[in-house]
Amino acid sequence: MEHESFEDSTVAAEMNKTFISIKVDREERPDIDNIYMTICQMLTGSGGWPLTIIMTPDKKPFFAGTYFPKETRFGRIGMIELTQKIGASWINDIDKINTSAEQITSAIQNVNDKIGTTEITEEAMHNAFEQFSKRFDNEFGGFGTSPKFPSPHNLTFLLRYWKLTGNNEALKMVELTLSSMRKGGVFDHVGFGFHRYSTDREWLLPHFEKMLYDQALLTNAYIETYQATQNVEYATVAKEIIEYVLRDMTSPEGGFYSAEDADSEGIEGKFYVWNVDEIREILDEKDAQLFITTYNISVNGNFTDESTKASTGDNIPHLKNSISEIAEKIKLNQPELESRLENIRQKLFSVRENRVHPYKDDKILTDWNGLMIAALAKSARVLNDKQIENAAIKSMDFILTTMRKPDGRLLHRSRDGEVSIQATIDDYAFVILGLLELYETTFELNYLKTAIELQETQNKYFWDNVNGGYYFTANDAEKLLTRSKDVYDGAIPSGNSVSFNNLLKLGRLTANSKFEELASQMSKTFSDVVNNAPSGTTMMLQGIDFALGNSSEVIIVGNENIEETKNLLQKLNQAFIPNKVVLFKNRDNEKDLAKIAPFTTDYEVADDEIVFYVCKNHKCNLPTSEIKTVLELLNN
Amino acid sequence: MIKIYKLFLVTLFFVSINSCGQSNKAERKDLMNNELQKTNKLINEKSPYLLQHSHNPVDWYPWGE
Repeated sequence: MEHESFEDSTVAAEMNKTFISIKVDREERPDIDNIYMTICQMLTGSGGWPLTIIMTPDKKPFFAGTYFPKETRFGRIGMIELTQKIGASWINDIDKINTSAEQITSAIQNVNDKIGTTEITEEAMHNAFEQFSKRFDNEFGGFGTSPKFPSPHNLTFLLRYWKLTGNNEALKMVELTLSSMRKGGVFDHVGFGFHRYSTDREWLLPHFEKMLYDQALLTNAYIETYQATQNVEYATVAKEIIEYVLRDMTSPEGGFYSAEDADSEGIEGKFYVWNVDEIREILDEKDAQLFITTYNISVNGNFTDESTKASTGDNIPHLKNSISEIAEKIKLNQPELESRLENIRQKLFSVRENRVHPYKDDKILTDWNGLMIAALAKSARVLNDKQIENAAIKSMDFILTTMRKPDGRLLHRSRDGEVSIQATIDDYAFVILGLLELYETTFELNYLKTAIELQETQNKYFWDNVNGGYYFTANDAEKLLTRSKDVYDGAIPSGNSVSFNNLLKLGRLTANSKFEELASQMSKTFSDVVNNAPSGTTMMLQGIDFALGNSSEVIIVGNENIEETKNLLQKLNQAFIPNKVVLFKNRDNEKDLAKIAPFTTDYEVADDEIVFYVCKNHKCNLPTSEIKTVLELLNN
Repeated sequence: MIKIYKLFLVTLFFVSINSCGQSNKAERKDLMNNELQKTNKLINEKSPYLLQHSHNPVDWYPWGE
């Protein structure tokens, strides 16, 4: 639409004559996008981007749509005709326009007044699982046919469902999806990281854009699946994604950039594809042949253009079998094959670095950084990796010093030296998530303290005192048509869902009942939405699993510097026990910890030993130093 | 409130980066290199996405009062 219409002087002349045209970056202003997208869905029954809204000078919309061609074609009105018609109506039918704008406005203002009639129960988790079962693709993994989106929070929900019920189908869905995605073209086999989504059922031809939040959420899904299965291949994928983010998407100050475009030199995917001649030129004959066989490269190209369906001679490197299967087939031992492929990858990578890169969106968004920090912090403790831990710490330092104002409130975006735009609920919820993960990795009490401060700030400015739940915007934010409130988990989980999980964890960490009371209210507020569409609210259901299920507090008391402690922590961190919080008490922090979690004064510190208390809702078992006992207690 | 003088309507385009897939960047660069090419009011923004449209012939405004 941009090139077709907005760079066209005829369309521009019509638009400039009729409209004051406003362009919004939805990533900068998700609050605006949120409201007008809801309107588009209300009016047309569907939504999407580009989103086109026509509204009166007092921001009341009377027309909505998505893409419009330049000229009217196949019954789809074009920009030129649309602009002329609206211009004429504005003169001849102004009363009608105003009436309709008023009606639409009042409809959107009523959307959020609903409150749930019941509570969310375990039933919703079973229903969500049933919905996923029906849509699961048994051959290629993922859900539905095409396009296929990663939606990693659906997978982490299924892991919890497997843990809760022992239903192996749930784990199978996760494993087949994640292993197929890693094999497919949706993964960048040369530079690592995942593209936005697959246009086809097989995960072959992606939309090549790379988003920070996908890297964050997928790192989390792979690392949790590693915990659940102890299959090291999933840990490797998490490390690969992290390598990409730290290499290409990290600012000198430690913040993470937002995205890389799909296209370069005007062509989608150009940066990422190869033809056979290039491969043969870069690699020696043996390596070229190995790469061509392993990654399914062919002379005609291994995919067809999405719109023309023609072969292009270009190839998206992808695997049809796992590396171990390939090793067996070509009679090479696996470590040798892996090392040869890695060597090849590095050669291709350095050649690719000289190509024109896709445009990098280098704005730093607080919410997405929170997701990435959370994923890094969790990966760091599971993999026992200091470098990853330091990246998480550095980024959190950046957020807390640069994106937080002296009054303690967050801002949303940093770019080119300018930090600006009031934070939404996502900024708070995702940074708190990052802080909680970082606390569990480092046991640095400041992270927990800051998480509580931010949660209190969020409660003060975002909580709906009448119906419960958090509004998307603060009560002193720019006044838009309405304050929206959403729980649906889309490409990223909703601020409300993540907050629900945060509140439950903060409640257990501090024994402050206020946090759980808010969570309980949220379960009522959103019950109808979640019960009606459970597979669309899987992050919320992860909290339900925590609240209803077998969740624990682990209080570790002792000296963290002795070798014994490190070994035990590593074992604890490697296990898949999502429904727990962990506190660490030692000589140095006992006073400060008592302020945050008063109940910890009951546990005595000894200098030369390490003791675990496993508690369920603050009812504790006898202390133990045996990790086997700890894991048993946590799993029972 | 958006100031209205001789014009009467407000159009909003929210376009995600997703949607830019088919755009021709090389051509856009040529446009931008053309010194006669005007800039619109997006030129003072920080968003890379908005800046990419600051040389459109459409007289874009950023969201604001």
